[in-house]
Amino acid sequence: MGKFSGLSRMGFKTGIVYRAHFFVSLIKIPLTLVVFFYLWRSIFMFSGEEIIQGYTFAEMFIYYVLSMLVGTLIYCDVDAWMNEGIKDGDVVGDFLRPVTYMKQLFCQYFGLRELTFLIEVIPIMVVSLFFLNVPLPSLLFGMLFILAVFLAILLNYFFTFCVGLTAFWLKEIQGIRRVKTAVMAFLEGALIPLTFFPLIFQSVFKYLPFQYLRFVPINIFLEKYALSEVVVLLSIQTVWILIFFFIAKTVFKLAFRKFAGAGI
Amino acid sequence: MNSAISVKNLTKTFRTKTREAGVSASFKAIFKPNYKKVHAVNNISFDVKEGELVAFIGPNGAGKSTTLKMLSGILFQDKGECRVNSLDPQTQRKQLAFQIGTVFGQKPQLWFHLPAIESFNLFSKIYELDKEEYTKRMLSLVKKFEIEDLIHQPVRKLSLGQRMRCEFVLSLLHNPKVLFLDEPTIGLDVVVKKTIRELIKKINKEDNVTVILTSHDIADVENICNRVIIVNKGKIVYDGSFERIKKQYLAKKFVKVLSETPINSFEMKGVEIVKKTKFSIELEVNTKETSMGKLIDFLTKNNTINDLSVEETPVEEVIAEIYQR
Repeated sequence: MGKFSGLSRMGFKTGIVYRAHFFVSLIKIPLTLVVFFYLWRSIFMFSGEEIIQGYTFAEMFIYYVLSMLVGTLIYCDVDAWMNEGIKDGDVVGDFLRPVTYMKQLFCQYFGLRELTFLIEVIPIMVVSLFFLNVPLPSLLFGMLFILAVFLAILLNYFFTFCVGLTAFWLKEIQGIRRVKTAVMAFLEGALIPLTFFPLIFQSVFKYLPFQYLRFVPINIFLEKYALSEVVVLLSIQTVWILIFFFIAKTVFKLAFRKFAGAGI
Repeated sequence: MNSAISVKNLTKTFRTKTREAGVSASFKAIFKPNYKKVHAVNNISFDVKEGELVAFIGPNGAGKSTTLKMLSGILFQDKGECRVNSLDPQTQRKQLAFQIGTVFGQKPQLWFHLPAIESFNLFSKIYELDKEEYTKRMLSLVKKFEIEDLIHQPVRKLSLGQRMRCEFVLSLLHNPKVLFLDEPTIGLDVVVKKTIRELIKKINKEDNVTVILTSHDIADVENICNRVIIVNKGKIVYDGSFERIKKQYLAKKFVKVLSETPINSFEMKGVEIVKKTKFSIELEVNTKETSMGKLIDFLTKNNTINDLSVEETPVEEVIAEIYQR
């Protein structure tokens, strides 16, 4: 536990070092939300419908507020850290420690999540509660939402770690990362709710891990599911975490063998 | 005494991509890279006793860092065996991590954006150190390396020399039995180099830490190590004391004489005249054949000497000569 908190503290502290960066990131989310607000207001006005794909205008806006919130909380760029470390050889230092690489990165990532929670998420929550009239879910669904987000943080980490591992073979994975970001914006439900996609796509999404990162937690908050459905979804989410955890572990072994065999 | 490190027939070959210059060659290399085999370390064996201070020197690409990496478990050998504190680095990397410390002159391990003290505290947790013992050890190291005023500033604001001292403290916090130093004095000024050398000696003596250091700077070696292993092209070309190098290769001395009276040419066994003007003469003397005293006696008898200086062959040249054998 000492190692864990030690490393996560470091992630936290590194994140807070640069004050300007810190304050600018505070206005990023409100700004984006203003854009989405006006975009969807005009879409609803022109269509003349009260409900589009199961969402009222109010719900749609809340969807984006929550999307920002969840997206910020689960944001993970360990693949970029890994890419840098492998390219300039700094991973050597990480490998010399008596803690596994995956654990070291996770702790730093988690520390940054704590920081994000304090400086980015709490302001959004305060603003949405007092100014945007975001309706709160029942206590039960609220708790389930928190659980789902927590699991999404884990899922995103292990998935991103797997992506980062490719850098051991490819050295430069910026291209892969850009494609990943673009594709995931769709598959997570960050750009538009997944219900906007044709049914065929939606049935495919069900079998992918990505909807569990954003779309599912948000809709738990909006109470779009029955309780029994939520239980099933959270179980599948957990299974995905385990799958990526084992992939990450196995591939890391191969990656290390490659690294130690060929050098860099 | 136990051997802290034993290396037997260690061999490592790399396959590196080679690419010719030019745009078309770059494209070709994407689809069909050319590979070249490089024998980084070629069948080397040596033993290091507990508490020894050994220098590993050699030209760039001689295999020094490769060997250190294999000893610390982050590079696997193709053939041969190595043991560090009777652990196999390849299979027992985690246990080994608790017992070795590393300082890489070119790869800082401190967190760049945070004060060094934060990195120290983190390491105390990673290495599972007892809190009280850690604080005591940290404070004594901080004092020894004279970094009391530096540990609360972000590392990026420190000078290279200050940073290196912090790196040393970081690598010593968990009381390692073996210390690997990969070019610890690279880029440092003369004064800082001297301080670092003194400190390495001190750590080696006081805590009985086995130290292996690689360097390009012969002065590092001359001043702190009693044993030198010279590698070139992946092979050990010399393994022994620094004194022996001196005795074997530094028999030649250069003597410069300024005289108030004109100097005549002369002949003496083991003495060669390099340059002669009317009032001065430069000689190369092989002290194995003619003692310096005899020569000076001869010179003072025949001339009125104004000034006389004796120079050794620079050690660098000697080492370079060993490299080339």
